[in-house]
Parts: sequence; C-alpha cells; structure tokens
Amino acid sequence: MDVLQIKGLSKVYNGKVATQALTDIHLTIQQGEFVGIMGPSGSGKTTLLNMVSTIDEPSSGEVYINGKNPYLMKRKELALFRRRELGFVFQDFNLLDTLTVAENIVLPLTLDSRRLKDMDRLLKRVAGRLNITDILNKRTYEISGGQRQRTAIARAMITSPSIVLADEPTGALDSNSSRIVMESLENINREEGATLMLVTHDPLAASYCHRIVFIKDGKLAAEIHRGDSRQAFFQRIIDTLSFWGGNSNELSAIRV
Amino acid sequence: MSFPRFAFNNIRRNARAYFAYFLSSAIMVMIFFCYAVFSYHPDVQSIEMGGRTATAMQVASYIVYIFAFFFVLYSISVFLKSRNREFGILTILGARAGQINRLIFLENMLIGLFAIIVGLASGLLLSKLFLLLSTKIIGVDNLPFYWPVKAAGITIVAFFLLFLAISLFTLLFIRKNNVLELLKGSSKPKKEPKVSALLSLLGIALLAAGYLALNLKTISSPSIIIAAVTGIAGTYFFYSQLSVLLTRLIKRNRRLTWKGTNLLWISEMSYKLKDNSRILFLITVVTALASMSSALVLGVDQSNRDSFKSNPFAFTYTVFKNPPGEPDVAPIRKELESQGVQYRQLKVTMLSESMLFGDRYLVVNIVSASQYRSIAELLHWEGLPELTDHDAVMTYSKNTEGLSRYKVGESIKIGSEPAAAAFEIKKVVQSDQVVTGSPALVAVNDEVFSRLNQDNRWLIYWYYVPEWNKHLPGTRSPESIAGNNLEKWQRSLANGGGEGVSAYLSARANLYLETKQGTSLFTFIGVFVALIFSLSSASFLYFKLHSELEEAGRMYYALSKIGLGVREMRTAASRQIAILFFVPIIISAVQTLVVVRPILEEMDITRVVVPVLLTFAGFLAAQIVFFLIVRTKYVHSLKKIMV
Repeated sequence: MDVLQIKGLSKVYNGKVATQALTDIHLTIQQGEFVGIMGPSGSGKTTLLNMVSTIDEPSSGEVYINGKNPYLMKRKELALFRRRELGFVFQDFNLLDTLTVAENIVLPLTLDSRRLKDMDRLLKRVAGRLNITDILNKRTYEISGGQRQRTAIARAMITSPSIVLADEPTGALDSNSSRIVMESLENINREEGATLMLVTHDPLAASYCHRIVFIKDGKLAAEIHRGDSRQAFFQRIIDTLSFWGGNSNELSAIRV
Repeated sequence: MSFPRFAFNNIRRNARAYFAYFLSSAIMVMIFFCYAVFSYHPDVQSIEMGGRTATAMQVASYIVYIFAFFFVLYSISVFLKSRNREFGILTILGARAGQINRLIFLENMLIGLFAIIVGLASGLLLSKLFLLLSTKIIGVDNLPFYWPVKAAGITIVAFFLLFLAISLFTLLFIRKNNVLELLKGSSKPKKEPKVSALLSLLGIALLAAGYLALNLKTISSPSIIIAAVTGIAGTYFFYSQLSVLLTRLIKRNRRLTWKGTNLLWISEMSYKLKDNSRILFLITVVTALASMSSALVLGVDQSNRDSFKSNPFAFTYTVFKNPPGEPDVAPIRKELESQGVQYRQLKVTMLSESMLFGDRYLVVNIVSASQYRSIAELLHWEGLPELTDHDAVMTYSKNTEGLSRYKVGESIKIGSEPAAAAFEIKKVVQSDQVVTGSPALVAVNDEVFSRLNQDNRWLIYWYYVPEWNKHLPGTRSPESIAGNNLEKWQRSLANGGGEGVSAYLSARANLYLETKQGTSLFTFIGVFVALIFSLSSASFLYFKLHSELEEAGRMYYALSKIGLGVREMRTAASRQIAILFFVPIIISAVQTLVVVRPILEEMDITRVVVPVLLTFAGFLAAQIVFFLIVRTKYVHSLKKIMV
C-alpha cells in the first residue's frame, strides 16, 4: 500500500527573483519502506520534505498521504492530521527544556487528551524500543545528543504515525551517537514496520535506508536500492554523489 | 555612517523591540507631568483644599518618579539581555567595549529623549482632562488650562537626569559577559528552577506571622510594622519559592497535567513565575498598598455615608441648661422656612443617668413615654404599650453589638445607689437610627420620669426634613447651605456669650461633607497612583513577554510542526499570560482583605468586604483590559510564526 504519493510536484518561490525550487517530482513510498533523500545543498531536499510535512504548499502537483490530500484541509484539521498521521524528527531535536523526557514523548498524546493508562502503556513500549527507559525522568539538558534524538524519535513514534519524516537527524551528532540513532531508526522500521523518509547529507546515515532518491537542482536525478551489504551500499552512495557532481565538501556529515 | 547615526538606525529599524520600553517610559513621563501641572497650577494654592491637594500630588509624583526609576532600570536590563547576540556579533566584528557602551548609552538617551517629548505632548493633552477631573472630584470650581512652563521644565530635568543615570548604570550590566556567552544569548537551556525547603518554610512562617500580628491582639503601630515587614518578605518568598513548589506539586498529579495543553503551560509556569518573581512581587506589593489605602478610604467614606443615613434629622440642637429653659430656636426655623421645605420640629427632654444592667454600669438616655411616642410616630417605630411604674422599654442600635442582649423580663436599675429605681424590661426595640444613642434609649412612664433625678436633664431639638432624607447632599444642596448659615449663626452666638455656650447645633450635612472632601481627595490621588502602577506593571509584563517572544516563537513553531493547532496554542499562551496578570491581583486582594479588616474594625467600621471588593474589582477591570490587549497581540504574533 502506498503511504506517500507525490505526483508532478513543483514549487516556485516568488520574490524579486523567482526561484524554481522543485520541478515535476514524482515519488511513491510504500508501507514499511525506509527511503532516503539526498542531494547537494540547495538541491531542494528540504523543500520536498516541507511539502510532505504539509508546512509548505506546492505550486503545482499533488501530495497524498495515506490517500488524503492535506492541502485541501482546514488549518485545524491539518494540525490534527499532522499530530496523528505524521511523525517528525528534526536536526536540532526541538524538545522542550521545560519538560522531562517522558513528558516530551507523551506530549502529542496529551494534546489529544488520551487516557493516562494508554499513555503510560505506549510510553513504556516506545521507550523500551528506543532504549531510553532509564532516562525518562531526566531533563533534556541532562542527557546526551544521541539520547535527545532518540527521545525525539520516541515522540514521533508514540502516535504510531503513517510516516515518520526525519530531517538530518544525525546532523548535530557525533559519529557514535549517529550510529545509535540510525540503528534505532532501522530498528523501528524493521520491528514496528514504521514507514520512514529521511533527508540527509550524511552517506553513512543514508546507508541504513532501503532506497535512496537523489535530487539535484530541484529535479530527481537518480535512485539506488540497497542490496544485502550496507558496506557496499555506502560505497555506491559515495559514487553516486560524486557522479552527480557534488564537491567533496558537500559530503560533510554536518550541514552548515 | 557615523556612530550616532548607527544608534539611531538601530532604534528606527528595530522599532518593534524598542516600542514597549519606549511606551512605558513615555507613560511615566506623561503621568508625572500631569501631577506637576496640577500641583504648580497658579490657582491651586488659593483654593481651600488646594494647598493640601497640591502637596499630596507632589508626594504622588515623587512616588511615580521612584517607581519610574526602578521600572526603567529593570526593563532595560531585560531588554539588554535579549540583545546579547547583537552585542556578541559586534564584538566579533571588532567593536571595542567602549564603542558598544557608547552605542547603548546613545540608544538609551535617544529613547529617553523621545519618551520625554512624547510624554510631554500627550501629557499636555491629558492635563486639561486631568484638571477638569481633579476639580470635579475635589469639588471646587474649574481650574483653567494654562501653559505649564514650570511643570514642563521640572519634568524635562527630572527625566533627563533619570535617563542619564540609568544609561550610565546599565553599562555595568554588560561588562562581565564573554563573547561566546553573548553569542549564545538566551539559547542556553534553562535549568529547572530550584526550590529550597527551608526558604519555603520561612516564607510560610513569615506570612503566618504577619497574619497573626494583625489578628491576635489589638492593633498597635508595632504590630502593623511587624505585619508589613513579614507580609512583604513572605510575599517575596511566595513568588520565588512557594509558587515553584506549588507548580511542582500540581505536576505530580499526572491525571491533571497530562491532559490537553496543560502539560505545556503548567510545566512552563514554574519557570515563568520564578523568572518574573521580582516583578510579580513588586506588582503585588504595590497593588496591595494601593488597594489597601483605597479600601481604607472607601471604608471611611462608606461609614460616613452610613452615619449620614442613620441620622434622620437634618439639624440637632442640644441645649444643656439646668433647669432647662426655652432657648431661642427661631433662627433655625427661619432658615428652614427660607429654604422652602416641609419640616417638623421635635422637642425632647432627655435625662442622662447611669443604669445597672447585669453586673455592668452603663450611661443611658432616658425619655418619658409620651415623648417616646412622638419620636416613634415620626420615625415609624413600633408603638409603645401601656407602661406601669416599673416597666421600661429599651431601644438600641445593632451597632452596639456587645450590649444588645437586653431581653424582655430582665430587670435593670436606674440611678445610683441607694436611690436607684428598679425596672423590668417590657419591650425591646431595635433601630439603626442615631436617636437611640449609645448604648440604649430607655423609655419610662411619664410620672416616673418626672420623679427621676432632676439634674442631668437636657433639651434636644430635632429638625426632621423628609425631603432632605432622600439623597446625600452635595456642596451646593439646600441642606448644606442651610447648615453653613446656621453654623455662622451659632458662631456669632458663641462669640456673644449667653446661650450659645451651653447649646450646640450639629448639622449632619456639614459633618458628612467635611469627611467626604477629605476622603475624595485621597481617593483621587490613590486612584491615580494605582492606575499608574497597574498601567506600568501591565506594560512591563507586556514588555517581558515581548522580549521572550522569539524563544516562545521557536517553541511554538516546532510544536506546530508536530501538530499543535492554533487554538491549542491560544489556550496555552492565554493561560500563561492570565496567570502572570491575575495572580498578583488575587494575592493582593487577599492581602488587602486580611490587613484592612482588623484596621477598619479598630476604627469601628465593620463593613469592609464591600470597599475591598470594590477596589479589587477596579483593579481587576483594568487588568482584564490590559490582559486582553496583551494576549491578543501576543497570540497574534505567535500565530504568524506557526505553520
């Protein structure tokens, strides 16, 4: 079943100089898939993610999430749609300093005024899955970057969304934390059957995906699929990136 | 681009950020100026109440000035903190510390000058209204508008010095931070507010001590001072410790907090309360002081009105003469006739005598049954039964609570031993009218009355004017004009010796108006001082919220991405703002009630709840208006940020 369907998507930013950010993008993501989006800076990755996130409206073309077109919804409906159908993981975590880890995770559920028992059950499950049960009562400034990102993943997962959208989740992490976070994402994809869309600069992070779509200058440029070996996939990603004309500094793990 | 030009552009292009700070400074200037315009008015000194009013106004303007100093100082420190990043960037670009200091100094002085100009201009407009209002309330003729050169000069000098001092003072704030800290600015995660069990207990103990000091024993000035000190200190701990403790306790209840937007705003509450504890404390204390004084004034005013209403007689002419002869009351009658009103004169012979009731001796007024009947008929009291030689009827007012336990069938003794005569209470009447005297008016059989002590008798002439009992008198009402004329007549009698020495005329309208003028003066000043405080505290809170808007915006932007709706944001933000705005008002209302009740009771004013609630309602109404304005602006800015 198709969780995400993008048809003929284009985006033009009107300003003094009109910018064509995306041109005629077609993309389909199926249930349980783990798809990466890669491309050099300014290629339109983030624009594409924003379209899927329903926070930026396309100039033309259509986006269907679970068969529904979010751009036909009212503002309030859209908020509910995001809360229930989409999960978000950001580069800078976007956790609230005023809340504990547990409170950060259950926040989307409390907004829906779910029953306390349900919240506790879901919290326990998702925290166990992401291995953060020990730090549930800590504050966000008391834990490491990797733990923060796993908290953010738990918050995205707790509502069992149709698709989890991750925007450079390893962008602010060291290599060890990156590895743990990517393994966590791989784990929820495999064990929970979560559908994931990952936007990243980092070839190593991207190598956890099943399939990678490359964008350059707002157009789809290439698509590669992972075989059995992650190591080989990683090499192919590097090759593709260099083939599509990125400079070596664009392979940097950290997006500036 | 020259350096002053840079400072000027900084303000011009970042006008929104400076606006709240500028606005509240300008309001301070405006109010100070209005007071000055009034107190330096050339005609003020010549009015009867004017001299006192002008002095009180001057005191009020000193208070405004002191408050303005702290207000501007505190807001500027908050304002500078929010601009740390900008200073960090300037430092990285190679600006010397001296140059940044000069920039801040220039900016402050520019804002200060603008505030003075705008404050004076709007104050000039407002002062016309102010003069009109103040004269109306104080009850004198209109003061004409004039060009307040002296007042303007004083305002300009005072506030120029204030801004100068503060601009220099603020330079101390920024020295110590290094570049990295400046650049990071407020993006560092906030640590959870700390709470000390010891300090919390101390806070509770202080509040309790303040309460006990006022309620345990009779009030003396030391106990008021103790209550003030402990109350103020306790309030500080309430905000810095107890509020955090309370929110933490509330958070324990997950059923409550893990519901809807509660998690968002309750968890942030302890931060907000702790961050703003100093300003909330200041607002609470100032509001409490303002509403305590207004409640006291209102209380006095209320009791003044009550005592007017409880006196059914426009004039009371008391003649002490032994044996009572016929005084000359023709001037009173003539005055009443010249006012063209219906009136009745009631002449009563009273006897003051000691009475033994239970085991206590009281001094009561005694009248004969026939005269009692004429009073009762006039004032629509219950009639009198036939009295035997040993019967007495007691009439008392409910204000004399401790003594109101007269019961039918009990016995009293009138006169001193051994000549005391025993009576049995046949009937008890309760009336709030002052006629009863304190502690009771006793009526006995005519014959018995004539046999009682011949000394201590006096005559009372009451003048009952039904038309004047309908409304409270104004300064120009016929009742007060007549009262003034008769007082003149009495003074002339007293100067001429003779009868005036042992006779006394009391005009209830004059008594009422004298007190009323005093209270309305204080009400006027109190209301204006309170208004400034609530206005400036609201503008301060707005300013504080505005400076935190960027941070809040980041949070709500991220939350809106994960599905927080606009309505939920509005709920959470409104509740937070509401708490900041209304908690100080509620706390100060409670404090006012606690403090004012015993003090007014000491002054024999028992109906305190109404004046306190009235003052409180005034503050609440003002605060609701400010709250709605601030909330709308705040939510509007956040709404634009949300996706």
